[in-house]
Amino acid sequence: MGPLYGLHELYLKEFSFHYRVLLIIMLFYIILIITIPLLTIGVRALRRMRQRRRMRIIEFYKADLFNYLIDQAHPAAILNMKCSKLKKNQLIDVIYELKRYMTGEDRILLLALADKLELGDYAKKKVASLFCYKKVYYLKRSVSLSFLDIPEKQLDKNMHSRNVNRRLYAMQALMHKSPDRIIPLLNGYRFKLTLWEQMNLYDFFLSLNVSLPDFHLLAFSPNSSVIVFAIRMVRVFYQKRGSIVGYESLLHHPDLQVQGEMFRTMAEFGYSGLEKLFEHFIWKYHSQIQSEIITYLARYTPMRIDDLMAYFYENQSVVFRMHVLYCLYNFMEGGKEKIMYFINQKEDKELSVLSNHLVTNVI
Amino acid sequence: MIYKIVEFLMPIVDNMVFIYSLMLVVSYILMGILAMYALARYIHSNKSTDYNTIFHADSLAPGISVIASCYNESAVVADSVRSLLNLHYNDYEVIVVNDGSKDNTLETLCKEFALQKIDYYIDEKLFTKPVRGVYRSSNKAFHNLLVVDKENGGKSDAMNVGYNVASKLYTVSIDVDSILASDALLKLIKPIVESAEKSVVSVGGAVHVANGCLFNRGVLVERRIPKGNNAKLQVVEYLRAFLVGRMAFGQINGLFLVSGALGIFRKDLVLTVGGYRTDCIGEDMELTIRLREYLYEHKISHKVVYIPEPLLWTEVPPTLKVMERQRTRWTRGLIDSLRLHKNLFFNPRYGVMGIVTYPYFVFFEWFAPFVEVLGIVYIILLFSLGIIKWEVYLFLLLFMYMFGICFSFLGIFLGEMTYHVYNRKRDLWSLFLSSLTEIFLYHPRLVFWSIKGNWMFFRGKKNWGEMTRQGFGKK
Repeated sequence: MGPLYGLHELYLKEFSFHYRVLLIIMLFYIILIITIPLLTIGVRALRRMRQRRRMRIIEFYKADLFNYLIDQAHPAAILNMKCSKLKKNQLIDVIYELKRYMTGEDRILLLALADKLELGDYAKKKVASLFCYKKVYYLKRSVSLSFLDIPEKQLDKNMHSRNVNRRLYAMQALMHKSPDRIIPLLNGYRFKLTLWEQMNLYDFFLSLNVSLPDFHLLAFSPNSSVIVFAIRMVRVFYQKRGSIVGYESLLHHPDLQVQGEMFRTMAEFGYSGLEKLFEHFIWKYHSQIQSEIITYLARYTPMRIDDLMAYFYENQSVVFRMHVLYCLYNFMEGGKEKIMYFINQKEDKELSVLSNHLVTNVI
Repeated sequence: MIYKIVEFLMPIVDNMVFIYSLMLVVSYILMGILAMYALARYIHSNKSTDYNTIFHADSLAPGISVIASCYNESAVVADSVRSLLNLHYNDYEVIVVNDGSKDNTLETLCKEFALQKIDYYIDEKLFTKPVRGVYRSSNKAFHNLLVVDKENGGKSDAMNVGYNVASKLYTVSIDVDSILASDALLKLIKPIVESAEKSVVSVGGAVHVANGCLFNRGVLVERRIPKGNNAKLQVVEYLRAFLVGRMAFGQINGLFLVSGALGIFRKDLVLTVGGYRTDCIGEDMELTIRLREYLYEHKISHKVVYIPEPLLWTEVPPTLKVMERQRTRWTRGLIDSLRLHKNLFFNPRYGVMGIVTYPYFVFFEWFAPFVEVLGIVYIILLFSLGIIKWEVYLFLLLFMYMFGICFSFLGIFLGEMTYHVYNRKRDLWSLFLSSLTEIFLYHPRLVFWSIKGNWMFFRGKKNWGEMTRQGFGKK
């Protein structure tokens, strides 16, 4: 087909606006196509160069640090570090890493050296930095290396940050400064205490040299995530009290997690005289709490096997039923024989299969 | 007559194509910016993270069931399961579901891990094809491994069996043709334990190409790019998709897809929504959408997060035939998921997912190959009618070509900026050079397969197709 005269000009006219726009974008593309590969290779080269330099410095510092640890009066070691242009950021990293693997005298010596080299001041300046990631980075190191002279005002400010890690390490720094403030700090905590924070605090408490705080004091915090944490810590660190008087209200707490943790802790601690309470509660809650109650009833009360099996038949959930059989097998007198009987009986096939599954796979 | 028709249609088509292209370009640019922001944020916020805190947290850390389904994977299954058993996490179990493989996948597993058939009660929370047997190792070192052998029912059915067996709070679904990094579970669970106001219900992880890399007994020893240009371009495609696309959608809480190759889910929620649909071919995407749909409908504030760390290394199709099966399946999966959840389309009830992600997937993922083909046909028509000259055609072609290259380059650049996935300089150059060739053979093939996938879907073809494996490179 031959050309349709006139339309080409029309097309170009129509196209001219589009063409100009596309041309501008295309110029931008050309710049990107040239610069991105160069930038990538440049970044790679820079990164490798930095890595090599960092490794060299780290090796250098490590050698000096080990000399210092062997003989702390070794003049060359500290002198070397003081005379050379000290890379405080890298030295902090080296000491931070080493400290994680060292205990006792060596750890104390490392911290003393960090103090001598005024690394704390450096970290303090960095905590005041504008960048959030730098604040987090140096707050964490400050906590670990016991740099305690970060102003409280600054830590308080970080405690109100939206960044979970900033809050966490600031809180740890404050706790480190004055361990007696742990309870008021957590009691006044206005954010949700995430599981990540709880894990870190647990780790922190394990590493704390002072005696553990009484977590019972947090059980009535206005923040339910703090209550959950407190109950967990009470359980994990076994801070058992004589009775649960005063704590019954937590069983009715609007937060299901609080209820669950409370039941679990009471069941694990085996407080006596809770049968009536638990029997009353058992079907009001979800399966996890039901299982905790069954554990308690089987383990700490003189319940009969038939009564326990009544719970088995009342709930259709396989997970719950398995748990009942588990408790029967492990905690009740004559439970093992009963499970063997269940396996061999023919009337209730599901019971037989579940019992068999328990013996072959769970126990 | 022709003159009049063309005169009438030309400005309309021109403007439509122009607006479409402009929107595509703008959305890609926005995605690039969002991805860069999200990556920088992720890297900075995790710079001082000590993942061992989770490892040391004892009972505070939630348990995880890792579910891997396999079908005819005897070449890779042993290495893959070994990598799963080497994961660094306290409370986890590995459930391998053999979906009625016709090769010796089960025999390989039995031999490698000293498996013995056991009596096992399975709580059928989700309806599945019959289970033929459950196996556990006699070697105590593999105490957390459970192998379930079942009749063939497809990947979704196998995953549902895994969910029936899983005993932990969270489940990680992975493909058995992949190797998981040893710290993958710690990194996947981190956004979940860290979430405060909005609960994180699922986390997806970056998947990278294992072809060409060297492994030693299920552990990645050396990262290398594969040899063939086709496989190299798949590397670029993965970098682009995972470091740009997913990161961007994750940033605006609009993630639509947590890849079946690697993703963590809250088990109770998956069970609540009924597990994987067995009549849907894009089961991972469909599940993610359905799960989020359920949460939005029940007004449960939630987040689906994506993390850019290279946690999983997967074998990509080495031959064009296998790749064609994979790509047509992906297209069918996309259409199926979009069709099943059409109520999301521009529906503000479903948040960003309804307003942004769903329309994006419809216009720029599903329709894109058609628009591309129509564009080419239109240009050829104008060219043959003498309305445009070849310079204009070349200009338009060059425009789109450069756009594609820029985006591929961005993926490679972000790969280097973040986790330096490929360390060797020649690997980087090789990827850049391969990207320049994408438009000539690779991209037209993708467009063709995509259209073929549409054709297959509307003809009712719902099978997966055989995926042959080569096995991981050994060192």
